[in-house]
Amino acid sequence: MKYAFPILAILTALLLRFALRGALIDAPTEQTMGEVQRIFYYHVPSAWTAFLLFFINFVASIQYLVRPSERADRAAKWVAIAVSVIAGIAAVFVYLRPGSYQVKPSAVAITGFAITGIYFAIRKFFSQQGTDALALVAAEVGVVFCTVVLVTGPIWARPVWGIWWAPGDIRLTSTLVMWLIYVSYLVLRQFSSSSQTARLAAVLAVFGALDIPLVYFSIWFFRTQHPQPVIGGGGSIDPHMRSVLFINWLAFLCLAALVCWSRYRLEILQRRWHEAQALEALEHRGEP
Amino acid sequence: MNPYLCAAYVATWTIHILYLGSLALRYARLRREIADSLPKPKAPEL
Repeated sequence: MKYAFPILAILTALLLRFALRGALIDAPTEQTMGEVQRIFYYHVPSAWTAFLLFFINFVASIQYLVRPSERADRAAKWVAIAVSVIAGIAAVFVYLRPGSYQVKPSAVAITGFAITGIYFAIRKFFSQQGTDALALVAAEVGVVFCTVVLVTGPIWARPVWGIWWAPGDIRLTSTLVMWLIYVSYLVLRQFSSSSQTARLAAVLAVFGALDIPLVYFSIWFFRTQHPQPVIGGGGSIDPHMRSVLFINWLAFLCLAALVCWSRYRLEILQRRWHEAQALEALEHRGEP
Repeated sequence: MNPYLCAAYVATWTIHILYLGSLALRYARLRREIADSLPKPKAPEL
């Protein structure tokens, strides 16, 4: 455990280097867009990582809200189990009717099981204060990755669509709204000194998370300028491009884990330090 | 290299490095706060 952090740091550096080479050199050049399509290997994994981090923020916020009540905690636990069961049944339906849905059964099953897995992992390994710190850290690092998505997207759009931003496009607009929601969450955490800040922020995170499925599914349900998904949906992708994409995602996941770990340690240290200062101030209150 | 591709990759790493820098600054500030609040050893009286 003592060496886990440096090992993860070295692994992340190696993976990022390998992934960068894959994205810039090894992956085949796309025929229509040419070299500029290689932005895909940073844009898409950053978006997936941001989604995952915002989802962790959502689960941690729910746990922070339900834990004080035993009944609410039990109800949330059963909802998490139900998500997995429903995802399993939905995956069977999708498998039995191939071509009827835009999604692959494996994608449905993995998403459902991952939701339940993340819920129980956070429940087991984080205390009440720990879930609050985790929610804050996940939102902060998620905003960083979402910023990368919002910056690389227009840089890719300019040579391909001829415009930096498509006004009114639901995918682009909902992503910007999602970014603004989480930035406001961080502003609330930073500048509110009320004792209810953590609870208010958790409620904001739960409502803010409603935007995540809207962002993700917007390209399926609305006509948008943004292209259809090539993974997990109805599109297709060259197998070599797919492997480079997944290596880049793995590298970004490791980077996100490393940054979240550092930020979590800092957050816990800051909280302990402020608690110690408050205790010391109380002890010295009666002294002349 | 395509200038848009180069710009996207540079922008990505600039954002990550800026964030990592802000983390390092926050660590340093906390460490300084803790060090400042600890009682300093008195100089021996001559």
